[in-house]
This record gives sequence, structure tokens and C-alpha cells, in this order.
Amino acid sequence: MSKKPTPQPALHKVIMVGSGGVGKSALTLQFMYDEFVEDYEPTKADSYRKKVILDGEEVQIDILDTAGQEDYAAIRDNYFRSGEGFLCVFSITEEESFQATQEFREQILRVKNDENIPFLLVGNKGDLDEKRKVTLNEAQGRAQSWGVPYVETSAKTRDNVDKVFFDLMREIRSRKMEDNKMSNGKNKDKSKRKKLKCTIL
Amino acid sequence: MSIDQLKKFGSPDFNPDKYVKEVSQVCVGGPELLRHKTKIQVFAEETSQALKKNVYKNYMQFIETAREISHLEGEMYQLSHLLSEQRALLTSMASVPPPLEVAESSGKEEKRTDTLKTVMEKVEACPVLTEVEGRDLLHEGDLVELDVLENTAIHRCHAYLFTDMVMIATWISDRRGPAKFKYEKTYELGSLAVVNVRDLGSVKHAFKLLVFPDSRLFQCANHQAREDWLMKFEEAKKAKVADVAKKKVQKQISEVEKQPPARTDSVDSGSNPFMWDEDQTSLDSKLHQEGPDWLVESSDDLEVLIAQRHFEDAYSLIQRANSYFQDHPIPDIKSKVDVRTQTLIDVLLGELSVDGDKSLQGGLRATRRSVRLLNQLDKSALACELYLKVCSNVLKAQTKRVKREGTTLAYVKRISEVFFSSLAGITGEFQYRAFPSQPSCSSAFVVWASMEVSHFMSHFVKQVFVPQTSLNTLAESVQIVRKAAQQMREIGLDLEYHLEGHLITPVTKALAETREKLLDAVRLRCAEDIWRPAKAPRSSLASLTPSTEEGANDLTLNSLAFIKLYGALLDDCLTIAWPDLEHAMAKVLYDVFDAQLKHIAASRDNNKFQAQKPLIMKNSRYLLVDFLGSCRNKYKSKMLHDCKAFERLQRTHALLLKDTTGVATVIGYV
Ligand SMILES: Nc1nc2c(ncn2[C@@H]2O[C@H](COP(=O)(O)OP(=O)(O)OP(=O)(O)O)[C@@H](O)[C@H]2O)c(=O)[nH]1
Ligand SMILES: [Mg+2]
Repeated sequence: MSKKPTPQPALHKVIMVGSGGVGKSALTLQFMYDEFVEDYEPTKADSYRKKVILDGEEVQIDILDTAGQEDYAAIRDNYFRSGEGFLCVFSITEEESFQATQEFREQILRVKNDENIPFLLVGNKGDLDEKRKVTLNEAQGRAQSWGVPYVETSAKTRDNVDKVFFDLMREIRSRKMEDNKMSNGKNKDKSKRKKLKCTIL
Repeated sequence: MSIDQLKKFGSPDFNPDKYVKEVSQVCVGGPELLRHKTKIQVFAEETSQALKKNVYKNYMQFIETAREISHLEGEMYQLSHLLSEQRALLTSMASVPPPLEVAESSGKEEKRTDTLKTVMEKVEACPVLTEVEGRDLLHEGDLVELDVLENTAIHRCHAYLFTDMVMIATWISDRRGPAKFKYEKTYELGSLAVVNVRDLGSVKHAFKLLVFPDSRLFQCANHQAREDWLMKFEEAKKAKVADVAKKKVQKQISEVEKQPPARTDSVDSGSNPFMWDEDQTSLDSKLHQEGPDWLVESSDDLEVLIAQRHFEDAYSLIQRANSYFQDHPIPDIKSKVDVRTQTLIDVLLGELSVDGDKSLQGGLRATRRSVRLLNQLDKSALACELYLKVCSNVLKAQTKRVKREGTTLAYVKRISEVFFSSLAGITGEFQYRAFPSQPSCSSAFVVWASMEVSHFMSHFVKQVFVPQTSLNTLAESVQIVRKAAQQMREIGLDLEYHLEGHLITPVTKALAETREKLLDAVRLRCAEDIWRPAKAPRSSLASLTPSTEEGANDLTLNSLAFIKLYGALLDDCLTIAWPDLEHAMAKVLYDVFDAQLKHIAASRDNNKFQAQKPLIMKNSRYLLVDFLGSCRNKYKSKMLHDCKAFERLQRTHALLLKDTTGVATVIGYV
């Protein structure tokens, strides 16, 4: 993929976005280390890298865990630029965090200037179903309107944790392959790259 | 009474009527019933005794807890004080100093440009750093740059963090001369994202700079170095964001100000939206002219007002100007007003500061005005600090006036009264007038007060606890100072703990000395004891042992002397006593009494005194039962519990009593 010859496997850059306290770090740490962290310590900007086998092929995933509590949203642009795919996380127990996904989505589209950037809407804290404030319908509806998949996870029980990261990597991978073809064919029109997406549950 | 019965009475479904019925069925005849009645009466007594004991125990626990709490409270105050001091320090560090006049700030300015110039010397091909106004170096350090994909080291480099950007320079390994690094690249802070690299295989202590489309990976020497870098970046970015926001607001405002029909000289500038950035000075002077006359002259007026010491008027003018600035910022005038505000603050602080030559005639009253204004100017913490220094001086002056003359007791009484009533006065003034409802100041005050009390107490100890002072004098002195401190407690400042903390060491020492002295006295008299009854002047005894008159006959001179001596010792001890001291007290009380009883035991076994044996036994009985009993009661009524020493004495010397009864019987037969 890269023109530079490199012994390293392909690298996919994933960015965790979403309001403070929704579980971005918890998801990341669960994915990285199979651990659930009870304590809440707001993140600033942390990066992680891990080698994984994606459909039989060794790849590297680079996760950038961003701050939900960033006081000045403007600075997020700089982080978002480096991402190839986004996990946009909210907590199903917190309506506001769901509303905030709208802003994150818009900001990402603006920064990346690409309607089809690999993107998953993630409803976290699925284990707290009794405290649910955001219905499945609402979330699915929003995902559909964006044309992205919606997945519910639990960083606590590890439900769907691998799934969201792997699904996103697959999207990134196919996007990169497409891009390669396009750049070979010298066709850079992004709007023609609409893809069919289905909501996965 | 048996445990069974206890359980029965204690059970929740115990029914007295039913119980009585049961008893009357079981008991045959009057005598048995009576016996049962006495049994129950004994039981009732025992229970009430146990209850008393329990109440007492709880009471002691309560007292103990209360003491702990007051100790804790002191610590909390201390903590709160430390925190507010720290906060003051931080805010003073964080707050941007008001723009100072050129002369004052030039030193700082020079240092800033110097630093920048040094950097330029060190870095080959470095761009000119000094041309951006206000740029300063915030952090620098050696780093190793790593390949983002392969995590392998690329080169050593040196990074500089400025207020507005980051500069990366690479290391020149084989070069002599001033330049050690070679300029590589700069990044605007605003376009930069910093990422803490938590996990990158074997790479430790790394961070990333994301500057689209670049992504650069740097490794620090150790964990701390990385923390430093991350922190500095964060600070720099926050400051930068705040700065940008400020500029934005100013710009909006300046645009608004440009809306009204412009004067001839500002026609073209009004139409140019970039004017503000490009030509600040001309714009500023224009704004300057836009302020109302009173505002334009405010700076000069303030100077005059301050010089004439019309501080209140100066303050209201500053208020007026500041509220005007809220809607129409005029940076130029504002900076001047800020400078004058600082002058006012300095002058007021000067009023408060304690100079040797300044008279304290007015006392604290004279500071009221300055303190009030400083509070209004939001400088309470500073004012409080200085105010407390004034308080210290007032206290010192007032206690100094008390001359060291007359007896120790008289002196101690006067100085304690003066000190604590001044302290009470100051407390009132502080709490209700100078700094009402300002918790951080209150905690500073409490800390101050305990410090002053410490000073006073060390003076007190020095004056009172001189060798050869009798325990009696000490006890009275302690009582005096306690009583004086009591008034502080009434106004909400419990100092007892402090007093006791200062007294425990010297008092313990004094008790040990007293013990030696009394032991010598007791032994001396005992050595000369010839066991002959004194024709006792009964009156002296009556006061010591009011309840037990009989048995006081036949006391020897030695016993009488001992009773007097010991009674005085106990009284003094109890006057000083507080719980922490009990251990030391118990030792004296035990040892002195023990010495006397040992003497009695030895005399009893001494053939020389064969004939006086009944007398010896009478004396020992009196001392061990009657006198010791009355001592016990006295102790208990003051300390609310038994003294271990007395219990131990009675246990250790129980044999003396046994023999007495034996002999008494024999005597009876004779
Ligand atoms: N029950 C439950 N708790 C979760 C789950 N995910 C996260 N939490 C808890 O939610 C709190 C916040 O989680 P974080 O992962 O630190 O939140 P974050 O999104 O990284 O927050 P910022 O770093 O401030 O943006 C923590 O106390 C977690 O233990 C989950 O799936 N279930
Ligand atoms: Mg986090």
C-alpha cells in the first residue's frame, strides 16, 4: 500500500471520538489489554498500537484516544486530520452524549472533507440496559441517515468490542484499496465512491 | 445474682407482674420472700453501679473523641491555610501582570529577548525569533526522533517550545563553535496536536506531534521528561487559545467601535477589517480619543487622588472606569488605569506593612480603612497576611508593657490576662470587621493564632518553670493561663489543646522533680520515726479527711506530716491535671505513697517496734483505707474515673491490712 518499502505490516489509524465519560478509553483498553477500567480518568490524547490478524493478514492498528472533555473544540481538527477511520462513541445511558455525536460527525466530515470516511456509530455501556436513555431505534435511525453502521458495545463485558475495531479496520482497508485503484486510474472524484452499507447489530 | 436471672430481667418480654407471681408461688413464707427481696435489691444496686460505669465510660470516650476532633480541626485549618496560600501563589503566577510602565518591564523584556537570542546562536540557520512580539521560550529539551512507521531512531534533535510555536532542530554531532543544532522546522501551536504515546511496542516515553500531513514521533529520555513536555504543551496551548479568544473579542469590539460615523481621520481605517492587526497604534490612539473626558483623565486623576490619600475616591473612580471598560474596552486607557490600581494597592499595602518606626498608636483600628479597600480590590489574601503581622505587633507591644515584677504568680496572671484578652479583641476585630466571612482568611487567622499562642506559651514556660519552683506555684500558674485562655474558647477558638501541648513536657519534668523531692522528704522523716502518737491538732486533719473522724486518733507525727504533704501533692496534681498527664501523675502519686507504706511495713516487721505494733497497724489502716479512700474520691470527682495508682497501692499493700485485722483480734482478746 505504501510506496515506501517497509517491513512493517499495513497500519490503520483509528480515532476514538465522543463526549467525555462515554467509554472511549474503556473500549480502547479492553481491546488492547482485555481489561476493564472502572475508574474514570479523563483522557487528553493517548495513542496505542497493536498488531492484529485481520482476515488472515497481519496488520497494525493505531488507536488515537481523544479527549471528550476538550475545552476547545477547535483543537480537535488537528487530531481528526490524522485519522483514517472513526469510532464515534456515545453512552446509551446518556442522551446528551448521543446528541453530541451529531457535532462530532459534522466536524469529522468537515475536517476530512469526505462523506464516506470509514465511520461507526457506537452505543457503549450496553450492559447498563436498565438505565438506557437512547433507544435502539433512535440510534439506528441516526446511523441510517448518515449511512454508517450502528453497533452497541459494552467495554465492561467486552460485548462487540473486537467487532467495532475489526469492522472499522475492514472499512479502512477497503477504502485504501479503492483509493489505490482510483489513484491508478487518476480518478479522484470522491462523490462517486458511494458504497452500500447495512446496519449491523 | 446469676447470669440466668440477669438475662431474664434483660429480656424484652420480661413482665414484672408475672415475675412477682412466680416468685410468690415458689417462696414459702415471709423470710424467704424477704431474702428474695434483698437479693433483688443487691441486684438493683449492682445494676445501677454497672450503669454508672457504662455512662462514665461513654462519657470518657466522648471526651476523648471531642479532643481528637479539636485536634483534627486544627489540622484542617492548617491544611486549608496551606491550600489557600498555594492557591494565592498559583494565581499570582498565572495572572498576567498588568502592563507595567516601560522602565519596570524592560528588565523582563530584556531577559526574554536575551533568551531568544541565545537560542538563535545555538541553532544554525535559525529564523529570526525576536520579531514576533511577546514570544517567549517556555520549554526545551533533547529528544530522539523516531520513524513513525518503523519506530526506529532517526536522529537526535532538540525541540524548543515557544509561546506560539514549536521549533525542531537537529543535532550537529561533529561541530565546534556556538551552534550545536541545525534548524529543521517550526510548527504553529494552533495547527498542532500532541499525543501521548501510551503503547508502541517497545518504545517508551514517546509523544507524537500531529501536524497535518506530518506525524512526528519523539522519544524522551525518561518518563518525567515526557510528562514535562506534555504539560508544557498543554499549558502553552491553553494560553494560546485564551490569547486568541481575547484578541478576537477585542477585534470584534474595535469593529463595533468603528461603526458610528467615523471622524475624518479614520474613514479609511474604518473600512479595513484588517486594520486592527496591521496598524495597532493608530487605531489605539483613535480609540483613546473616543473615551469620555473623565475616562481619558482618569489616570491623572487617580494619581492625584492617591497622592492626597483620598483612597475611597480613587477606588470609586477605578470601579467606574472598569465598569465602563466592560462594555467599551479601551486597552490603552485600561492599561493605565490598571497601573494606577496597582499603585493604589501598593500604597494600601504599605499602610498595613509594619515598619519599626511606625507607631502602633491607632492599633488595629487604624488599619480598618486600608483593609476594607483592599478587600474591595480583591486583595484579601495579601491584606490578611499583612494584617496578621500588624496583629502580631499589637500583641507584642501589649504584652511587653507588662513588667516582670512581683511574684511569679502575679506576673503570670497579668501577662496571661493581657495576652488573651488582646487576642480575643483581635479575634473579634478580624472576624467581624476586617475579614468577615472569608474562609481562607479565617484559616490563616487560626494558624496565626496558634503560632502566637505557641510564642506566648514558650515565654510562659520560660518564666514559670524555673528550677526549684514549687509544684503549687506551677499548678496555680497553669490554672491562671488556662482560665485566661478560656475566654478564647467562648469566642470560638479552642486553644486548650495548644496549651496542653506546650505544657506537657515541662509539667512532666516538674512532676518528676517533685517526686524526687518528696521521696527524699518522706524517707528522711521515716528514718527518724519513733512511732509515738502525736497529740494531734485535729483541725488540720479535718480538712483532709472530713468523712472519717474515728481512726484518726493515734496517728503518729510522721503520718500526720505525710498526710499533709500528700494531700498538697494531690491537690496540685489535680489542679494541673488533664488526661495526657495522668501517666506522669500516677507515677508520682504511687511512688510517694508507696515509700510511706514501705516504711510502715518495714517498721511492723522490725523487732525494735514490737511494742508499738498496734499503733503501727492503726496508722497503716488509716493511711491505706481512710486516707487513700478520700484521695481516691477526690481524684475521681475531678478526673471522673479511678486512679490506677491508688488501686495499685491498695493491691500491693493489701497485706498490711490483713495483719492489722489479725492483730486487732488478738488485741481484742487481751
Ligand atoms: N458499566 C459500564 N461502564 C463503563 C463502560 N465503558 C466505560 N464505563 C465507565 O465509564 C467511565 C468513563 O469511561 P472512560 O472510558 O474513561 O470515558 P472516556 O470516553 O474515555 O472519557 P474522556 O477520556 O473524558 O473522553 C469509567 O468509569 C468506566 O469504567 C461500559 O461499557 N459499561
Ligand atoms: Mg478517555
